[in-house]
Amino acid sequence: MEIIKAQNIERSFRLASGEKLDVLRNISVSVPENTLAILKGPSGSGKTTLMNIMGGLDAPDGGTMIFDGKDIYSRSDTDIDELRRREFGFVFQSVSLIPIMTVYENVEFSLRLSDFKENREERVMRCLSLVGLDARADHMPQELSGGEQQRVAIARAIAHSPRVIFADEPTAELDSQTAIHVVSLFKELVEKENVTIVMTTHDVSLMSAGDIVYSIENGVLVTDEERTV
Amino acid sequence: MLHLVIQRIVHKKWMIACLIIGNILLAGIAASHPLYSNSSSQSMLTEVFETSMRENNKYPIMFHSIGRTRKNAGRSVTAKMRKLALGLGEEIGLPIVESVCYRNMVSSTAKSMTVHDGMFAEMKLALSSMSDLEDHIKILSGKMCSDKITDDGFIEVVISQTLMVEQDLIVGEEVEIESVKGSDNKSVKVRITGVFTNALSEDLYWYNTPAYYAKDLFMDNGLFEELFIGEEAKKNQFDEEWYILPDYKAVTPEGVDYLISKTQSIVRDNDEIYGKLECSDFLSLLDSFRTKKKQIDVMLLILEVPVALMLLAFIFMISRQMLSLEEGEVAMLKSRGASGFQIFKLYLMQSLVVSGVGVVIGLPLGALITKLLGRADAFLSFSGGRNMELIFTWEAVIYALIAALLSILMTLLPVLKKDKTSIVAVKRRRSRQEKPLWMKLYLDIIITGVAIYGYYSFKNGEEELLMRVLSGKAPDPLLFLSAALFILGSGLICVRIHRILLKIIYRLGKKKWKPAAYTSLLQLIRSGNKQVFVMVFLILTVSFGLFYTTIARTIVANSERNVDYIEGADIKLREYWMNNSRLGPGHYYEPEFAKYGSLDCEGVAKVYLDEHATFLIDSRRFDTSVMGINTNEFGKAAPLEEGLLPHDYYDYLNVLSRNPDAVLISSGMKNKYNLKIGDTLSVNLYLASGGYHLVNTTVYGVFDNWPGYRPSKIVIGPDGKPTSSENNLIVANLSMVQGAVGVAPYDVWINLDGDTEPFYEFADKLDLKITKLSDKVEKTEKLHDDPLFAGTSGILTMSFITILIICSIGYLMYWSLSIRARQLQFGIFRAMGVSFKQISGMLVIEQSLTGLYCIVAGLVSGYVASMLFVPMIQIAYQGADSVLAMKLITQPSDIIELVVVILGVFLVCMGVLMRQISGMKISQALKLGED
Repeated sequence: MEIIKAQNIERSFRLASGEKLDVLRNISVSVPENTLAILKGPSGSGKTTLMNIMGGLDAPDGGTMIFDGKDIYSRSDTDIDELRRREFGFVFQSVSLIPIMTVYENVEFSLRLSDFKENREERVMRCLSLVGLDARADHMPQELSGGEQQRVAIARAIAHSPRVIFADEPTAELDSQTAIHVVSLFKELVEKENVTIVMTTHDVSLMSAGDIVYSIENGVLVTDEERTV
Repeated sequence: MLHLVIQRIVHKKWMIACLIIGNILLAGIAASHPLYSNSSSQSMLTEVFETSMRENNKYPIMFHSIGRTRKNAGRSVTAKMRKLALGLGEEIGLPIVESVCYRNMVSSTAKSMTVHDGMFAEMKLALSSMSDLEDHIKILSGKMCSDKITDDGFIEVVISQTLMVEQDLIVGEEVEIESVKGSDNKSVKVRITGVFTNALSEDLYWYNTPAYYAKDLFMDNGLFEELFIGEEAKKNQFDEEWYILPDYKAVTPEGVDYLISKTQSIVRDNDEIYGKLECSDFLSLLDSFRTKKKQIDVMLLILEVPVALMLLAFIFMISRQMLSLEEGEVAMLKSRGASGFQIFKLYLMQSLVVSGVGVVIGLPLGALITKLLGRADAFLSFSGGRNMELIFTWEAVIYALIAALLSILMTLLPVLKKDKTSIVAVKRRRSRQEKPLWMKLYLDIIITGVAIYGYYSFKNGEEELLMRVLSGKAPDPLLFLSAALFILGSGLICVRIHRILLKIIYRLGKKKWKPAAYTSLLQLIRSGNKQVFVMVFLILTVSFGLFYTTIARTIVANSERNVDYIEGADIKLREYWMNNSRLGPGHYYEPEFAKYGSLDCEGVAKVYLDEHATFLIDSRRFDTSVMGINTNEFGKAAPLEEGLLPHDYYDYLNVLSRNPDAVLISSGMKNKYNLKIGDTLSVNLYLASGGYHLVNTTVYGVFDNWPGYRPSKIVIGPDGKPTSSENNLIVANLSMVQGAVGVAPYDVWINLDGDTEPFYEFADKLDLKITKLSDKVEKTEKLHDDPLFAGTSGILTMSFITILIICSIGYLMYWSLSIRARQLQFGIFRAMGVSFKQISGMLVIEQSLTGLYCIVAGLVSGYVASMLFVPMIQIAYQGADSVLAMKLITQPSDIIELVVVILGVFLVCMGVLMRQISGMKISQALKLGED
């Protein structure tokens, strides 16, 4: 059963010169629940745009974007905000932690946002230990290395138990060793936290980790590979 | 290089625009200082002369030379003095408006040739002449004298009306002047052909009025020269006097020093037995002008310094902000091999351009400010009627250039500091959170401590301060420095308290705060340093604003109160009381009082004032003044400000009216002579006809203040040191006083509810003969026109407006930059599902917690500063005229205006921020963050 289904997505931007640039052309993708899906492609291929559309951050010009059987962009802005708050989690390419909050507070903030009712402290510490950073809870983001920061971002993304995590090039700024570590963490999460992860990358060495891989080039879907789970 | 500079300026147009505004304001304010000082001192100088003229009824600048020619001696002295007199204008550098030559035969004994009561009358009369006399007189009877000796050998003369009355001389009378010999060596004979008076009532020619010449027989001037001065003339002894009146309007402030020293040297060099030069007492006028000008200059400078400093701080803040935005650029230039000096040069050229524009536009702005200062009549009011002539001097340019230089220094200061920056250091610093240096060093506490120390040492020396001001010196600038330090220190303390408060609030609801409040609090606590500067700035704005309005309002209001009080009534006048010759000197006919019934006014009262009375304590006599009033009339004509007496003013009047012998006495008198209510007091009332009249009175009440009463007077001793002595006053019933002194001149006090115009119409219509008049409304208006008051109100207003402008710009800029810097953060928030409303909420909370806090903190610190320092600053303005205890005046409308403007700035800020955020695309914001 697919949790996310993009149908005939079109997206174009106006350039400063007035020219129209088609970033995505008639793309249809579907992601089954509880899988790690990878969108791959060279930079500028449109994979980030596609993921933003999937995550409710950017409305498409054409096509429908279905989450859990319902079109995301037919909802009101408030509902889309709520969707992102409760059902989605995000990890971005660059460091996306809030600089004024400690590691602990960064993770806890997403609980505050989603109105998480249960014991917050326990949940935060569980997420941090999941990414192996429970010992650094009181540090400021600036005091961590890039890989550590990205792991905190992942902990934050899963804290409120979203159903889907969108990760945009989460390993782009990490060395290959750390990158592999992060991806294996994703796989672990899919298993333990019962979550679906959509991740973009241009790193070919990470493809093998994906349950399903979509390859995009120049805004067009090239192939899709599905592996047996 | 210049190309690069211009490119940068275009690129950073908003920041540069802010810098230019700061520079223009700075140069304008700097230039306005000398401009106002010079322009106001010209009108002040003229005012000094005109006041003296009004008060003394004499032209203010007069040189008087006397040369005496002895019998049979040479004429060199008179010739010398004449030359001096005629060349005087050139010597002192002033045009001469009137020059009169008066000659008279010294002590001529005259014998009337007409028989009076069977004998010849002998008189001391002088045969005299005045230049151009015929042009300045009106012949009352007879005719003008001829310029030739009559056929029967008489010299024709005219005499003043006074001489006619005093010596009973009539037209046609002939007089022989024994001591003056004609060419035939016989005494000259004169015939009076006319009686004159001055043609115009106000004629500079008559420096001495015709009445002054009560012994002179004026013959034709030409004939005098022919008979007594010419080569052929008979050598008689005579005096030649010159009255030279230079144009006082031509005296310029810059010319004062020269005029004083030149006058002194001329007077000193021409002081011989037979010839000397004197001058009227205008040197003391010039001297008092110099003192006052110096006082004004110092005062105004002191008042301008804080706003100039704030402008410099503003320029510094913007430069620093600009530099921090350019950190990357500078680091890049450096890593590409640009030397520190080259980068410095780049900034130097940029600030030269900015300051240059500032000076060019600032100078005309300075002229405009000066004009406005001249028109200022109260805080935030420029409706004064005075149209001051603008006097431009190069000083203005120099001041503006100095301001520009300081501004360049301020701009370069951050560059010098940051010059050592490398790209690595930049990144490192960005992640560091430190307390500001002043907070670590407790500078806020130290500064406030110093200011409070200053406050106490001035408080203890308050007397000294007053004496200093009374002897014409400006108050100690350290006083103002203490006040400014207090505002700065307490502002910084407020910032420190702000941090603590935020932490407490955060802790109180750590778990419960909604995301918006939570983030705002954390934002403020954790990135506090960035907003410290803008907070300090905002607090200072509000507190200086409040402090300034309080000074301005308090000074003016208290001076008005004092005038109100000292004057007692809107109009005080004394009519002409004709002498009752039937009863002898000191007896009068009383002018009709009932006519005042037709004057439309609030109240009119007879007030008898005896300033030479005495009272007896144990048969010893003490001086006092006695005021006789009709209580009912007086209460209506002379209202008294509430709160000046412990009980209701009308209660005092009622007590007085209860018993004809009742008196009220001043509290100083009660304390000094140990008097109490119920005591009998013997008072000697002075009689105009001579002597005293003793009355026995009973003390019914004691007052501290009474309309028109000065409890003490301050006298400047010969050593220039002021001393204070007490004034006693006894208020009694008019009926009792008049019973003792008879019909004696009293004053009429009229209450016209602040508009004296109807009185003048009334006086005109009835053709009142007034010998003494005091108009409270006019005095109050003069108060507002005083250059010190107008300048103070004006500068405080300008400072206030300037501070508002820079504060608005600074605040808007700070926030707009801080939003830009946090764009990525907002992008993340939005991605995480934080709604636009929640983000707006965050900003509202953040702004309220800082902005509103700053307003409140500023109001508190400004109010405390006012309470502490304004009473002492007030001393500088009150002079010897102040009687009432000072009252701190704040006008709520000023504070409301201040708060409304700042709130308006907030709203604009919020509007701009909301627009920035609402226009933000999440995906774009995130993309921006990746760079």
